[in-house]
Amino acid sequence: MMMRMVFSVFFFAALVLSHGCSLRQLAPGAKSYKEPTAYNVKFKAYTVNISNPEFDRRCYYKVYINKIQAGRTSTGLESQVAAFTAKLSINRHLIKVEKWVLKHRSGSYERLNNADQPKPDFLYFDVPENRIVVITLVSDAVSGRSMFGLDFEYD
Amino acid sequence: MHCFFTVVPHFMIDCCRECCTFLTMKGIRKIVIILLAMVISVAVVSGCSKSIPDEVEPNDTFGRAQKLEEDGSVRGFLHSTGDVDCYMVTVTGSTVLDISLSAVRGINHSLKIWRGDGSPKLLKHIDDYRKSAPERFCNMYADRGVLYITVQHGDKDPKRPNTENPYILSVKTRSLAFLEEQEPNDGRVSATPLSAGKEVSGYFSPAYDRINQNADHPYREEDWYALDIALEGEAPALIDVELSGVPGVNSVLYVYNSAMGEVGAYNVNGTGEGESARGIGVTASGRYYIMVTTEGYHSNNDVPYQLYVSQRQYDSTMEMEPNNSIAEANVLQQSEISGKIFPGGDKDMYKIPGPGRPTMFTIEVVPPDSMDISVNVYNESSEKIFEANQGRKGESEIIPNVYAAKALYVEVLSRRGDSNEQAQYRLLVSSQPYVSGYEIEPNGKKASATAVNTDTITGYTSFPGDVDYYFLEYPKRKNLRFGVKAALGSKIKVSVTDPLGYIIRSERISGDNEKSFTEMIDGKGYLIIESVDANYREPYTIDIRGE
Repeated sequence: MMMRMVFSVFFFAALVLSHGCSLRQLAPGAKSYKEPTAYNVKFKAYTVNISNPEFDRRCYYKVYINKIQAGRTSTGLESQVAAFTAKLSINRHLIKVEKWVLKHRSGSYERLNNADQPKPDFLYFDVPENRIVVITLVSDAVSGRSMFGLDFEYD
Repeated sequence: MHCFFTVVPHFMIDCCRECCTFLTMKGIRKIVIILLAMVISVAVVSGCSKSIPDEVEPNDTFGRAQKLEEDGSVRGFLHSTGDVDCYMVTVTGSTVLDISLSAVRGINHSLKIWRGDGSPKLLKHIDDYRKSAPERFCNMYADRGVLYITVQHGDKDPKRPNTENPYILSVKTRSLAFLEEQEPNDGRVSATPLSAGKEVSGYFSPAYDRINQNADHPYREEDWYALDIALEGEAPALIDVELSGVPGVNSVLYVYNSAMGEVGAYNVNGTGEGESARGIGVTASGRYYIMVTTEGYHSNNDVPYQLYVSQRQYDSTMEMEPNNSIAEANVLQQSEISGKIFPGGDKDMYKIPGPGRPTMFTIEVVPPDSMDISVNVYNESSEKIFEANQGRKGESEIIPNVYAAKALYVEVLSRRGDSNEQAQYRLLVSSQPYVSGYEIEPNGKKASATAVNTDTITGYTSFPGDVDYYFLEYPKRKNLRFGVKAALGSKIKVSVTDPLGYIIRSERISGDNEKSFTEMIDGKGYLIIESVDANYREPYTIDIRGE
């Protein structure tokens, strides 16, 4: 009886190990998830359908995680990707963003009016283990609507 | 007079007989009074009877000049528009002539005075006033020899002949005082000698020098004095010049060095008041010149001016005029020097010798209570790198952080035109070796931002509206924590920018409080410190830590 139990445990362990090894061996053409190191959440934002370069303003997004300011994205034109990274706990989180644009007259960035802020400007998302969550906010300059996308970062 | 003494005694004897016989004592008194009145009137008539000789035409040339006594007069007419009446005065020794020409109704006449030895040379041309006015030159100096005086029409009115109203030309002489102006002293060559410690007197006479063809000041009557200074051991000295006031005259005082460079022009006070020049630096023995003139062609033939020059030792803690430009700057030999802003518009320039290594200077000027003072700082290329004018009247000007490895020039002036002849300002300069992390002014623009290489920035609000830029650079995007501490009593605005210098975030910090905030730097960025309420003595500090 004892021998059977030991054999069963050994067999299960071998099965688990063999299954684990098979996970790492991806099929040709498949993408692998990037392991989190310095960050496990990446927020990216940009605007599409800008009809005239004159309207392509320099901007950045303030990022609030769970209602606390966590930082801001890099600065750049609205058409360019502005990014922000953070390392969060494995949990469900709320991200809210606030768009600031450069006013050349004052030489400083100023918060856009609420009416001009991205809509929606928030997203609930989960941070799983061993994944880098990529949140992408795409705004449409013509319609004024925005859309959040959620994905993982790949190698 | 002889006639008077022969006639009156008979008359008196007759009167006395009558009085003794018929009159009382009261009557006698009346008669005595009458007699005295008669005596006086006869004396006056006798005096007037001394006749003024008439001119003898033709006297139109020096060769036919009519002789005129040293203390004599002559009556003449300007018979035609081109008439010239020539008179000759023979001077027997050093003397001063007071030459006057009476007014002639409807005629503008003038005087010319010529040195008569050899070919006559024109010394003075006096034509101060227009028609119907007299002319006078009260202090013509002459040594033994012949002088010619010509009377002719002036240039200020149309020339008209006159045979009805004569002019009277009078010459009065007096001996030359021991120290007195010697006219004509209208130029450097003919300057009257002057000695330090001895007062000389002169007259603002005449009003115009018609010979002076100086384009800047045509016809200006100028009195020149030559001051020979011998320095003991060639040690620098200072001279002070005092010119007394003369009623009706707005005097102007000029001082020139031996190379005829203008050391200073002094016209601070108004009409009737004197002028002074103080602390004029003399660095080499030689001849200096002082010129006295008037503003507005004033004259006074009756009241002289006094000119006094004194000399004193130079002390390196005192300014030495002229120091109005970088080329003339006084070199600072100690950490303190005092000077005066005088006259109004005076600028004093000082040179801080190059320390030879990066150094931070603190420059402070403490003015007299009555003065609002300003300070400019220039680099070796004569570029203004600092200016301070934040203090009010009586308040110090401070520039706390002037970075330099080479010489600096500090200019002290009053923008309001204040001046003070008596009270001095003090210029204080202290220095310390430059320490990394200190702001390097001027850093008021992105292009001149102070690069940050340390964890702590130390800077000053150097002047109202001062803006300090610091440049931050890291290999990659970095989240930083800024700990800002403002100087006591001050208020500053701290801004963080994107790589292009556009402000992302601003914080205000006041008093002696410390405030911390976190902001992302996208590889590069600027820190901008703006002065809201300044503290010119104490620095602000910013600690920068990575998160």
